[in-house]
Amino acid sequence: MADGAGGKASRRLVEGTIVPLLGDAWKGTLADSAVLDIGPGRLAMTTDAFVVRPLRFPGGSIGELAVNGTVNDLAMAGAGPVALVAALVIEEGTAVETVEAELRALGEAAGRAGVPVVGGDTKVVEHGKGDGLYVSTTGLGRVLEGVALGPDRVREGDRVLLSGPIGDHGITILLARGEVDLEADLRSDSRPVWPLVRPLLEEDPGAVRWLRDPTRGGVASALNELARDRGLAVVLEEAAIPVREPVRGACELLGLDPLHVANEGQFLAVVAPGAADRLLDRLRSIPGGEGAAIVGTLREGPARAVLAETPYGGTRIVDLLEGDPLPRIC
Amino acid sequence: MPDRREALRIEVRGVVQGVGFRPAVDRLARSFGLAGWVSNDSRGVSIHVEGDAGRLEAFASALRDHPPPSARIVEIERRPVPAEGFETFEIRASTHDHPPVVLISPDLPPCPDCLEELEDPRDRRHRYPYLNCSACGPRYSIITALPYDRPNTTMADWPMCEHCRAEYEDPSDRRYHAQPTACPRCGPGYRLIRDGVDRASGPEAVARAAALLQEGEVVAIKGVGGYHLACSARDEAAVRRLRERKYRKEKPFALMARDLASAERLALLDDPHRSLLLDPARPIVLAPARASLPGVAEGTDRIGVMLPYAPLHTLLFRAGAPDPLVMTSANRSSEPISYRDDDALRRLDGIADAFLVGDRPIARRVEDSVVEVLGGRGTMIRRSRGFAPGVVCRLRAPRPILALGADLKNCITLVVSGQAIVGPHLGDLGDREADLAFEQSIRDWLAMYEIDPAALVVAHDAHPGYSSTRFATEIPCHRRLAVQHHRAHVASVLAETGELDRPVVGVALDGTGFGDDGAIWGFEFFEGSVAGGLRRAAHLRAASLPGGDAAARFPVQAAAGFLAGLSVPDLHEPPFSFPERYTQAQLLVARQVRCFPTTSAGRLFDTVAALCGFTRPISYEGQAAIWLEQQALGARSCAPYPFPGLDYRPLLESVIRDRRSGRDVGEIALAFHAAIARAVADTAAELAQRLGTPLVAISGGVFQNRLLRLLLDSYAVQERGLILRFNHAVPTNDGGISLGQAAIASGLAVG
Ligand SMILES: [Fe+3]
Ligand SMILES: [Mg+2]
Ligand SMILES: [Zn+2]
Ligand SMILES: [Zn+2]
Repeated sequence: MADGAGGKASRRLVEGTIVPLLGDAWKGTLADSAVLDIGPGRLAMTTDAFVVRPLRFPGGSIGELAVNGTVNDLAMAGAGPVALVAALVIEEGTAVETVEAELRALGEAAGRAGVPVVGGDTKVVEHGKGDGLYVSTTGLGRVLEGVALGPDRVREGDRVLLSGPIGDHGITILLARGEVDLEADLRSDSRPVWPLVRPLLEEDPGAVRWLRDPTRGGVASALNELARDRGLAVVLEEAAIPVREPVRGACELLGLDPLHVANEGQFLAVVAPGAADRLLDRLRSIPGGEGAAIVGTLREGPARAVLAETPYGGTRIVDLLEGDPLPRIC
Repeated sequence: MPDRREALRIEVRGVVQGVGFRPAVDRLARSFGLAGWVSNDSRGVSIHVEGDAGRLEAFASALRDHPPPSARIVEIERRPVPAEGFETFEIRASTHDHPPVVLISPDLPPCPDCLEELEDPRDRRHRYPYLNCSACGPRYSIITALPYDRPNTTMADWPMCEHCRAEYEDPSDRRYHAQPTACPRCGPGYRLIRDGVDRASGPEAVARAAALLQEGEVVAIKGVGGYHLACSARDEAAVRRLRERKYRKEKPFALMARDLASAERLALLDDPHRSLLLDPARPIVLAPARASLPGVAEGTDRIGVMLPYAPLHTLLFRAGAPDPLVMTSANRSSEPISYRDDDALRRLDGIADAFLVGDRPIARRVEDSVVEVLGGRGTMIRRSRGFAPGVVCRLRAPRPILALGADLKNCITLVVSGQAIVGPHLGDLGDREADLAFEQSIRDWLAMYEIDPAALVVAHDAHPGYSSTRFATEIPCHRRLAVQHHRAHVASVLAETGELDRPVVGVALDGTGFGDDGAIWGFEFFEGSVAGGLRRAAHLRAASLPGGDAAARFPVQAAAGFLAGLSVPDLHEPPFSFPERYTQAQLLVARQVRCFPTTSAGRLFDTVAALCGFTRPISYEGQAAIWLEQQALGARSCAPYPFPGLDYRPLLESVIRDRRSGRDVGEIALAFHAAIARAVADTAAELAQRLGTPLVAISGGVFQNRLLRLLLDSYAVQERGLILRFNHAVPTNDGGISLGQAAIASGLAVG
């Protein structure tokens, strides 16, 4: 297979196959670099490699994830997406239809996110050296005016806003990997979040202090990072954290804490206490933001920790989790 | 006369400071007409006595045979020294010449003298709940720093009146240096709070609380190491109300009986039970139930009883509180007991109808201890108030060792100057309060014993996900040692008996421990010695554990792991009637989603419990295994199921076959217990023979099962001639892990 070796064969693949599959999202020129004229303001740029298994799962696929993951990372910097480039690493022997389907998914997702794909690359690796298909995307975005985000802006007393129910993506992937179908209602939450983030930032750019998409490692990892960076405590109110019933049930069965499970279509925002209720109302008024909730508060201590207050009046430590949680009940 | 004068130097080690030891020695020496001195030093108490040889001998035996009731003497050393010509006896100021191994005394119940004052209308401490003397009262629960002096206790805010001060300063007084001494004039008081308002104080508060209890209300009572929730144990509606409010569906409640006679009516007590009930630690004693108290301890044939251990408890019963009282840790579900007033008032709002709140703050949470009788000896189930902190045994370790224990039922051990000091039960780590207590204990102990981090060996569990493991990596130290969970269980037994060099067979049966190979172990045999290393010699055939800890909460889920690969009938059908959860767990096993290879004994018990009818989730730890044991206790003798080479498959197939043919569940449960005991005995005997030792050290949470221990006694001891060692001083559950870790680390702490 010479398709990925460069030269004419590669050009044929790109022009003949890839570009048409991407559809309207394709705004590239097939030159070595895309040249963009994007006007004044601050730029945000991010890159991500996607290695999800299985490639397709209820509610999404790797092609779609590759777009949403990257535009969401831009959104977390307060930036709307301006352009995207994508690279595919295809394992030899992967069905052509599979690759085509993912390119189509990528194009459609870019369309939904409103971001043009302005360049790309493909490589083929030997059979056995990849999980079918890897996708890497790089995104460029423009930061909304007046936005200043970062852990250093977070203050004691700030509130933590969560955009919607958690755990859907991670649980769906875990079960899809084992081809276990527990619940018809379990599907990935993969989606672009900029349509939810933008109105918040426009409503009150100064009141939004910090944004993060709780992907791998879940809400627990994202908030632990904040607590450590900022030297404050994040105190969650467990009962306020939205978790859909099928996800809760699956977590119960799997011995997992929803706070540790990955999401691909949610975000966390730390907001000024005085603006929290207003921002929550705004978020809930946007389609897709109905499930948002205020889930916690930044506190002075215990420094660098994330805690969850249980409905029973106790407080448990929400750890940073590395890898699968091992059983510990003796 | 001077030429016949001889002298003795006596060194006493153990819990001998802060328990009125020096004044007692002073009185004893004077009563024998001896001269000399007594002094606290950093290792305990030193005594120099001189006088007539016969009297010296009598003094020494009196000291040995009748030490002050609160002291816990670990050793007494004596040697003759030259007489120095003292004319009187005196209490000398403390010296500080060695690294300190002074033991902080655990909390003590009121002594008979103080109880007498409590009842005496003419005494100025009549009905005063905070009375104590140098031989009794709180210790560990009120210490905020060392040395143990009043300013370093939670009594610092109550200056003594001139009366109390005079007693405190008089060496011949019972209250000489009684740090928390107080009286109604100068000390803290009690209040009764209802609907957020103070309703009464002093004796009136106690009387009101007693009346409310009598009327069936739930009262939160501040005790020594935390708050209890109390209600009348004979008022079923009150008991059920308490269960509902506390989210405690079935786990048995402990009782407090007014006195020994009342305890005798509740439980079948033999002499060891009685002496445990009266032990200065005043633990909760588990004994066969005699009374039937609906809602208190259903589903078990045993009951947990304790006697009053604070003056307030005595006053409550005197004031007419119902006897017995349910006295359960004040919390919701299984979190650590509340001990701060503001926290208790907030967290117990909606659970307690009223609060009996004392003014004296509690410095640290100390839960009630729980003991049972095993082989005629007191045996820890939860080692805490009254016992901890305390020296459990000696270990050869020139370096200090800090052993962090397991994450569940956490308890830490510190080895300093060769003495293993085991701390109180701290609860399950991962809970904020338990973590705080854990970190505070470590900080306090390292400071109290002046430990140089550059010399410290830190031992911790090998589990990579334990909070204690993460904590271990954050403590500065000389070196760190990860100890495999079940080796620590086995070593804890041998640390108690001092048999660290002897070749032994080690047996550990419990729920979950991280194994050398990354699998989840729990039914393990070892050979070797603690000092020379314990090699894994045999284990249960491995099964799948779907969903990790989720399987420990739902027996049918554990069953899905153990039954995979067996040809089993449809277990949704009667007599099994497994719920949907089983099918879901089966899917996880079939697809190996969130499945862990395991040799867990606990989950095997859960599997059999599920097959025998326990198909719901458990509501407290160990419930399914306890239920299975209870079923078996109702059966006559029966032959063990086949369990060849620790392969559970023929065993489970037999259980399923018998269940389908309608055999009595009790008999099935008994045949299962017998199979486990038989296999443990046979495997241990085989290994013991290979090793040339009769000694078998047995530990792990599964051995809280009394039936299993009884059967083992018959199969292993009587038939096979093995010598079995069980835990007594520390729990056989994970509460004993830190001692075992320390014992294994002591081999490495030499260099
Ligand atoms: Fe254990
Ligand atoms: Mg990313
Ligand atoms: Zn006393
Ligand atoms: Zn006084």
